[in-house]
Order: sequence, then structure tokens, then C-alpha cells
Amino acid sequence: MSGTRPASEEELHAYVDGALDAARHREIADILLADAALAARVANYMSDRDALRLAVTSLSAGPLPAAWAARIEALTAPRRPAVMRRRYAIAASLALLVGGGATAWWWPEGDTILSDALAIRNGTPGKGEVVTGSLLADAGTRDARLVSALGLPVRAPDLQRFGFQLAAMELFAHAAQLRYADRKHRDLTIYVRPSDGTTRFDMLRRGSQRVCIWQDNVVSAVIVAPLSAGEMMRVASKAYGDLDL
Amino acid sequence: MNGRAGRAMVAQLPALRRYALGLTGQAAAADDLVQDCIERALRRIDSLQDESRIGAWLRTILFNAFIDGRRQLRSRAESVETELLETLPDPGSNAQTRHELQQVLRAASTLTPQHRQVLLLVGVEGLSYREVAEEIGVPLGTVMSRLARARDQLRSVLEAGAPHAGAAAR
Repeated sequence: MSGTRPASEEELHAYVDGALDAARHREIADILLADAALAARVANYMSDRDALRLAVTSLSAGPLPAAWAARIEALTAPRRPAVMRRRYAIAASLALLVGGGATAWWWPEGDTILSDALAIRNGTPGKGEVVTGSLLADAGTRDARLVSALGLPVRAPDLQRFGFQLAAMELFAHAAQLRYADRKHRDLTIYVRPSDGTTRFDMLRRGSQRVCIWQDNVVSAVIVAPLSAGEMMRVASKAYGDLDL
Repeated sequence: MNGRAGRAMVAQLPALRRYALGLTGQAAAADDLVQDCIERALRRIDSLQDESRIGAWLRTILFNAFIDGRRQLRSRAESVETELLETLPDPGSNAQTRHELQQVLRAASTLTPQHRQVLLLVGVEGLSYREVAEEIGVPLGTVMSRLARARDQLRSVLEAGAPHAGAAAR
């Protein structure tokens, strides 16, 4: 081995990663056989690499927030012109409703989820059965009433992780609004009703208010709260996961 | 925008989250970083020339977002979420192994972002040195020297004992 060129630091790491050509790989292997201390150092590099890989892979292995894929698909799926018109309509309606409670706005026929949600949030119908206080405390009873109103197997999302506590539930025929509040007195509402069978995901913003519309073939939900986009995505993922039993 | 690019993006999400976790060392921060990356990528997806390189394209966006975030939060210490690490899936071993995984994540979080980047791209994502050089825009020799320094520093930190949570590189 006397004619073998010594291993450089870079070559040792290339050996660790299997990045050397076969001839040089064999030469480095011979060098390591003859040098126990160097061999131990290389073994440690390999062990550290494998431990880091295992740690990162294990910790990131949980389910991904569903909102990520929904967001990407909603913004990259080919859209028909009619859908684009609907988006403008949503924005226009939102500007009117969230901004100040206008009484009239144009809305495409058959697409009422957002207008209905905002009208209830703004207290327009006022005909629902309101459930508050101790009646909300028992999750079983509360969720049973929600299921009964909606005719869907759902439960009230638990948003305490985000600091939002369920403060009231307003039940209508085949619809419900869940109102949450946090310590900063920020209101978060989730309007839920059975889906018309189409799927949809939209994120809209008006001033400090952000709106997430999320609909699968079973349930439609509209979440409104003064949150950042990132916060809304996390809240929406949790809410959707809890609703989707 | 097109649906194929969107599907390709979705397929990259698990790897993006893994990369983000390796960079931040924190599960919540990693998810925030991926979220930021998604928004940035969606804004500029029309600029994606070659969909076969979407993984590298997204990782670059994510790393830039990570650097931007560090600038904004420079005064806050980074730390690994010990509680969360306690829930690491048992890799068929015992508490000793879990402890070692915690140690190595903590140690990695003390490296500079550029060293962490190379360590993760080679050691976790399995990229070749040439692929890493192309992705981060530095010569091949720089990748190799960064990798050597990163591994030496990681080993030094591990041999010196677990760093405290707030001892991460700023």
C-alpha cells in the first residue's frame, strides 16, 4: 500500500457517500483497514448520517395537513371561465358583506354557500336555535344536536390548540354555525351544511378577515376569522379533519 | 398554471416537510416553512421551466424562505421540540436510540444553514454531489468541503455532549 495516495478529507466523505469511483473506493477501504483511528472516524460519519436521516424521516412521517394539497389543487387545476366568474363574484360579495353588511349583492344562481355563511355570521337570519354555556360543555350531547341539525355524521371541531374556544352553536334546518372566540376576543365562525356534491377549496381575504371555503362531496364549510394565511390553513385543516368523521 | 404541475407539487410535499424539519429542527416551524414555500411556489409556478426538476425548484424556494425567516426571527433562539421528539416512532429499539436521535437533531441545529443544507441534501435526500452543486449554485468542490466541515462539526458537537436547546447557530 506504500504507493497509495493518502485520503483527503473530501475523499473520506465521498467514501461515506459511495461517491468515489470503484478503484479509489477500494484504495480508501485499504487505507481504513490499516488505520483503526481513521476507520473509527469514518464509521462515526456514517452513523451520524444514518441517525440524522432516521430522526428527520421519523419526525416528518405524520399525516400532512390536508389544506396543503387542497390549496395547491385549487390554484393549479384548470378552471373554466364560469368558475373564474364565480371567483370574482365571491370577491365582490365578500367586499360587501364582510366590509359592512350591505343588503344587496349579485350572486350566481345556485352558488350561495359564502353569502349564506356571511349572512349568518352577520346575524341576518337570526332564526336559528342558539346553544351556549353548559349545553356546549358535554361533547356527546352537543355533537348529537349538530348531527341532528345537519343530518351528517360530524362533530364540532376542537380548536383549543389554536386558542379558540367554542362559545356558541347556532342550529338551522340543514345548516349550523359554530362560533369560537379566543382570549383576544377574536371571532372565528364555521358555517357547515351538507354539500351539493361538488368539491371546492378557496381562500379569500378582506381587510383583516380571511375566509376559507372547503367542500367535499359530503360537507361544505366556510371558516371566517381574522387570521393569517398560514394560521387559516392550519385551523382549516384541523376543522376539516374534525368535521370529516 | 396547470394541473400536472399541481400534482407534481403535491407529490413533493412529504419530502419538502422532511427537508424543512431537518432545517428547522422543529415540527411546527417546519410546517410553517412548507406553508410559506407553497404560497411562494404557487405565486411563481408559471416560471417553472422543467417539471422534472420541481423537487429542486421547491427545495430552493423553501431554503430561501428559511433564510428569510431566520432574518426576521434572528433574536429568537432555535430549539428542537423535546416533547415532540419524545413521540418519535420507535425505530425498533429503545430509549437509548431515541435519545441518540434527539442528540443528532439538536446537534444539526447548531450548524450554519448552508452546512445543514448540504448535510440534508446528501445524507437525507440522497442527492449526488453534482446534483447538490447544481441545486444550490456552487462549485462541486465547495459542496464537498462544506459537507466535510458540516460532518466534522456535527461530530464535535455530539462528542461534546448534547447542546442546549437555545444553543443553536443563528
